[in-house]
Amino acid sequence: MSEKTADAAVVAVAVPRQQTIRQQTIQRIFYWWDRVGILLVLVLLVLLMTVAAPSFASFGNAMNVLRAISINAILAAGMTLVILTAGIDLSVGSILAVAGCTGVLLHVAGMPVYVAVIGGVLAGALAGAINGGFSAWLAMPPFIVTLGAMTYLRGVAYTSTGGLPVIADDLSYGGLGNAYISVVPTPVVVMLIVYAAIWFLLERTTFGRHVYAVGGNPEAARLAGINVKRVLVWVYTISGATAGLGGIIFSARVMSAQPNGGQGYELDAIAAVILGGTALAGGRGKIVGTLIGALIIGVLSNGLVLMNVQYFTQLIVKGVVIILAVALDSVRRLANAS
Amino acid sequence: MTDNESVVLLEVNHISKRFGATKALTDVHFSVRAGEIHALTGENGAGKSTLMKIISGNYQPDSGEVKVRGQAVAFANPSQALAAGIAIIHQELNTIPAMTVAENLALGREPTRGGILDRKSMVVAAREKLALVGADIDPTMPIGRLSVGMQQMIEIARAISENAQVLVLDEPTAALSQTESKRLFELLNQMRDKGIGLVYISHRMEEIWQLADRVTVFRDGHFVGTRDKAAVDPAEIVRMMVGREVSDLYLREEREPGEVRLAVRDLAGVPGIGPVSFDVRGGEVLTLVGLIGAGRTEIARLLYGADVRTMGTITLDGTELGPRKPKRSISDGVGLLPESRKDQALFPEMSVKDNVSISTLPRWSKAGVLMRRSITSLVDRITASLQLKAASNEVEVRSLSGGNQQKVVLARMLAQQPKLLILDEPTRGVDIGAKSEIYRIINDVAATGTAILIVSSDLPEALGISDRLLVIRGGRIVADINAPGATEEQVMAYATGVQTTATAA
Repeated sequence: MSEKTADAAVVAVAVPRQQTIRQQTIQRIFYWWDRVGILLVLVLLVLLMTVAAPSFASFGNAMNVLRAISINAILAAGMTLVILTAGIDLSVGSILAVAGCTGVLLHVAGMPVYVAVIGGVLAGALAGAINGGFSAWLAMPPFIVTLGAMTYLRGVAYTSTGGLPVIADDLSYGGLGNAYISVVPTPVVVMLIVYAAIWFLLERTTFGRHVYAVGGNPEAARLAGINVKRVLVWVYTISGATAGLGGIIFSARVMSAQPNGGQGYELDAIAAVILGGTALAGGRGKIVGTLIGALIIGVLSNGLVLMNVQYFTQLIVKGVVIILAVALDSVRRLANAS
Repeated sequence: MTDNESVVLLEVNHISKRFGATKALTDVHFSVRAGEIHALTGENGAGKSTLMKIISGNYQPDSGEVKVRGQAVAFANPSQALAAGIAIIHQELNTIPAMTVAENLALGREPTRGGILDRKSMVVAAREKLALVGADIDPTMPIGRLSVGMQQMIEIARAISENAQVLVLDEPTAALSQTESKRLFELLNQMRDKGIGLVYISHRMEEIWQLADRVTVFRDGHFVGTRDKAAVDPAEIVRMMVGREVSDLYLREEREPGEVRLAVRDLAGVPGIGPVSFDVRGGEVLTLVGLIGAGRTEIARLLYGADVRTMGTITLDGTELGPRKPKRSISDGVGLLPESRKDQALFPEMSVKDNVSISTLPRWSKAGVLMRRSITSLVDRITASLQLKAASNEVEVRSLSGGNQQKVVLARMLAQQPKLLILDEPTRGVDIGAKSEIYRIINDVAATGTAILIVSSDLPEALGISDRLLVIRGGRIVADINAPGATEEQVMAYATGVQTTATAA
């Protein structure tokens, strides 16, 4: 009888301790997951594809994958800043179309390529600044602001060309999309420069720290003397500019202004950011993660094509992967809360 | 005394409750009879709200018993308590602003006819319920458009209509105007006459005195005593609320306050706050004391520019500080440690280094690019001097204890090198060890000639570490007291309004 009571006491003490050890283990797993987890997924995916699709592992195909993801990755780079501030930018697909049309129309009108490029990027930045202005100064939900922008900017793109594609007849315009620098496609080089620039911005500048602070705790950021609204305007402006750059590359690749181009790209960009470990709630995430996220989507698409998987099935696989990645983020948050 | 009056509706005995290492309640007693108003009072953190949450079934007691009409009960949740006739009117009202009065009153038990919502009978039922409290309110109005006082009446109507025998009100006048308070008191007196038992939780002495038949005092989670109002005077209640020893936890080194550094004149902004005027000298620690909701935090925020000042002047070291936002305040040498560490100060997922340096980054960057080595050495130096316990300055602050998180925010303040340092509840939610370290830091900062303004709800702390106290009530300064030699009784008398003529000591 007394032994039984003693046993019960031991159990009563032991159970909570076991729970804490389990919690610690879970926390340790998430600690490492935060750092290498998503990279691990990419490596496994690459290994899987190498085995499943013989033509996957070659330098040429690697460049194909990189070139294929370059536009989405560039959009996702700007999107990362926006999501770090707990915002969202649904207008990047439409900005891509507007910027592409701007670039091609400027070029067709006789402007040199560099003017067309700058014009397209600036058009994107302007659209982004307007998004940021409404979100910051009128405290409107970014979801609504950029949803509206997604629609009106699509209208702007159609209006600018009369609804039809405009061909850039001069071959020099296509360089940004189709040329190589040494053996690397130009869009891939541009993508890497964008990532290096945004990495520097986030990790090495005052502005970058302010982005994390605004996303992590906007009221604390305000009280710490940060101009929260200005940070928000800049973040959307940068997202617009990267989407504009993506639009230029897009139009260069197809050598034409496509007013219906980029539809649904915002979702791919968001998916890359979330896969890369950036929290939708803001304040946590790394730009390198986004690049890995974009690579996962790219490798998945490329591999599935090489494996002759039907397009419809590809959509199913892609969607499931995105949901699983976000589910992982939620599980981590729940584990942290308990 | 009639039979009805002597019926004990609700009784709690030997109730204890712990949260982790904190004893919230230790062996407390309380009872309420039919047809009485029983006031439950005590300082901030005395355990009043915890007891209420036990009575309402939100918390389970660790030991002790709750009896309703002599029957032992154990409520697992608030709806069980309500079914037994115990209703709570919380400080934060449980109404859905966009829904109408009638919809709110019918919430959860909407009348239907063949499965379809019966709006007509819902409105009729609402009228009947409102009549119970004599409220002339249109049931089809969205409840959010009504004043807080009106909404409170509706909540009381809902409770009464569900046959509540015991009504518990937690600081019900906190958000009410004077006319609304008066109307509420009339209603409560009517409820008493109907034989309902009322528990009135408040630390406002005037109200307790006006309403209560009996008064129970808690202190630090302990039961101090229950008195019939007829057999007690307000001064004794105040003594019961505060009577405890000042330990040697507090630290106030000998110092000679210097010249006036901060001069505030006619400061006002937030409705109901100010105008207030006061000075703080270099090396002086001045603490704003008073009850929760008295307006101390609001004054601190106005000084910092966290809220917009509409009136008055602020002069620091002879320079007038114009209209401002926090950014400007920091560059002018004003620092604010906000009231809520979690909501207003910390970036939980950023490193210690980022959290300490975030408000002074422009000073540590060239053309926007961070001078990382300077930042690292600055942060290392400050965190070492504060004896911050963290694995490194690269860890996320959410992994630190409450006391160390508070030190991180203090470190941010020190990095700003303020001339005026405002500390709003600097030791809230930190353990004793961290408290005494924070007191040491405050002393060290004062020794450098910085003017220090503290807001504290911990009266022994305020008395123990300050040079001077300003007692705030109703958004105004009601007393200016030298802290050494002052007593809690003295301060509470001003804070609760028992003592109204301000005499500077």
